[in-house]
Amino acid sequence: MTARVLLLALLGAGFLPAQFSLFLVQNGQDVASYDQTYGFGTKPVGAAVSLEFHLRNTGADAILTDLQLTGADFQFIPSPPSLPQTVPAGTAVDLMVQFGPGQPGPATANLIANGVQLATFDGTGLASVAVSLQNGSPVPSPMDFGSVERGKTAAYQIVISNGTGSSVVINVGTTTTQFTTKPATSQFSLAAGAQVSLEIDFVPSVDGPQQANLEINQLVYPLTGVGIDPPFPLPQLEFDSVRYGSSQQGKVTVQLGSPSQATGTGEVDIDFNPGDASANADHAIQFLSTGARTVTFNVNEGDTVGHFGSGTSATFQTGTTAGNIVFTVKLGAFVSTKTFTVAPSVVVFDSSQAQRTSAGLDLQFDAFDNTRSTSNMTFTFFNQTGAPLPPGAIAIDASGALRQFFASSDLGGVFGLHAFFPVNGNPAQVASVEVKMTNSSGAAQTARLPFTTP
Amino acid sequence: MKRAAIFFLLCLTAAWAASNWNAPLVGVTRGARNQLHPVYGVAGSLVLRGALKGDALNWAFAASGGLVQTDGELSVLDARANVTERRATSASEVILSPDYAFFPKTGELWPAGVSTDGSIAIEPAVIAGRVIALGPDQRGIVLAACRGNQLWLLTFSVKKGALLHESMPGGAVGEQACDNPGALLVLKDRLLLAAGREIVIQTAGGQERHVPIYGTRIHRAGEDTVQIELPGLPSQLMRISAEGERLYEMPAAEARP
Repeated sequence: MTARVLLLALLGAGFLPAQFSLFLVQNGQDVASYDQTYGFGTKPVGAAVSLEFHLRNTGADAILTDLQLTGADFQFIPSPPSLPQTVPAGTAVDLMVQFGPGQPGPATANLIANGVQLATFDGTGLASVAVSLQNGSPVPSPMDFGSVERGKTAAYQIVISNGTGSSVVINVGTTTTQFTTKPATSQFSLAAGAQVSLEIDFVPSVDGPQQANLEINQLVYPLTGVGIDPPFPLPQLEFDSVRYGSSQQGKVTVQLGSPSQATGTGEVDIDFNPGDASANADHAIQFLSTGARTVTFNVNEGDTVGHFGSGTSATFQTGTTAGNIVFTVKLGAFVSTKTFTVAPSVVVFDSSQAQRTSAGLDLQFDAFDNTRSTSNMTFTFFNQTGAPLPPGAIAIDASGALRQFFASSDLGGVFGLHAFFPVNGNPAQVASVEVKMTNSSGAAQTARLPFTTP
Repeated sequence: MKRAAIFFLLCLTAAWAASNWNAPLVGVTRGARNQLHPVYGVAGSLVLRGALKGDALNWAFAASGGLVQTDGELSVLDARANVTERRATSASEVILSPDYAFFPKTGELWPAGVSTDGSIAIEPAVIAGRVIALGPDQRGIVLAACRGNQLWLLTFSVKKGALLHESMPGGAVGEQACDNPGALLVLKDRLLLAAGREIVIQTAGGQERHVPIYGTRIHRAGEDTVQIELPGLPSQLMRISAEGERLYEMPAAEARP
């Protein structure tokens, strides 16, 4: 009878397999221990090692309601799985188990899922040195050095104490050259009961977040820090002239007070405050390389001057409007300005063409009035002997027409005038003309413009 | 005399009422993207505005207007740089002045804007060389031609295509122009040649000046302006006057702030 019951139990077990099984994950593959015991090896007290497992549901859909680790030196990291959770058939729950011995000697823990012990973990704690900060507090994880300028140093002071009762050989190292130990000895002996101070330096040579580990024997301490640019030197604007008038092209350079330790980009901006606040924009006031009022420049480590593309200066135009041109250079945290006053001036004639046709006289000229205040114009025509033709200077009020023109222009104070004068008679008798324009700064006159025949 | 003066004054007043205030057009220049842009302003205060359609292969512009060669087309521009007419043209070489186009293959001299019936035939035998530039002349038009390796200036009538005059300008321009095709400009009172690392200027009065600038190509951009294209650098605008030449840097094409 007893044998029959046992047989039935064994047969029944074949139809009711265990729901959950534990597998060690090695190289992405599930590996099962034949005796469901997994060893974490020997670790110094204070150090830790972790292994990855799959808690696989080998049966039908199931609910995981309880999961325990029975040992203080073993824990789930970063945290235990959330419970309860449904584990569909054939799937697994990822587990990361860490062994961190709190004292020397063997340590064990059992993994129990839904009340069933699935595996045993074991490991051994090794008597080791203790590491703390200078003030005795635990070493933070990670040891964060914060933001540090390239080439500068941030440091932590740590103390290594040997409480093992015997002399210990200490191996110290960091995993990148951005972090170093001082003194730089990588191996030394520490007598029983002794302690030694060590400085951990972060000296970033590149920008951005940096990470490494400090390793003391088998103890691993994560290190972090951020490399940042050192500040730029103070930029100063220099110009190729001490003053500018209208309709000029000038050059600006950005001089640095000392060789830059930083690499980056700055910009120079133009702001314009016209003398007449109601004046239309003057789009000719611009940097020529961009066709705009902003130009960027680059500064590399070691530079003493900003680089505008392949050159060291940027060409700008002063436009044709009286007012203040304000240049602002921005580099890192520095801002510096320089203001030039473009003084109001009389009308400036740029080009002219006086032609005689069979029907009359054709006069064209281009000019600018940086005050945009021209009121009167006079035309004086001369005969072949150079004498003024009657009635002499002919005055015309141009203020209304020019005001209307400037109101619709965004080219500053520039204007062109094309006038045709029909002549009743022989135009060849008119040899030349002088044009005079008067604005708020005074009167300006063209040279005597000879009429030519096309 | 008194009566004539009164008439003149009356006419003047009437003309003033019809006068035209405008934004001065300095000329047209080619931007970094090979498009032509009208340039407004005065010397030292230049603003580039919207581009004309198409890639400009060649162009010439002056106060009266100009001509632009794009791929497969010649466009006629008026004095305000507006396209007024288009003429299909093959990809063959065209020599341009603001007012004329010369087709070396056919010997056709085309006055801008007229129908092709109005073209003037220039006999190749009369040219006896390779035309490399056109220029203005009070009596007609100048064809700058290389005969062998020597530059000749041939003045033709624009009515009958007859040769009126020919001369050798000599000097550095005369000697080097045929080695630098596309680098010669014939202006009213001077010749300009982009020759290596300098612009050579030879005036009608026989003076020769050298402007040290590495311009690979020069173009008639306006009545008194020449665009000098520099490899890898912003173009320069050369302002030409009776007093001499002055250089200005060109704004970038994306000029509108």
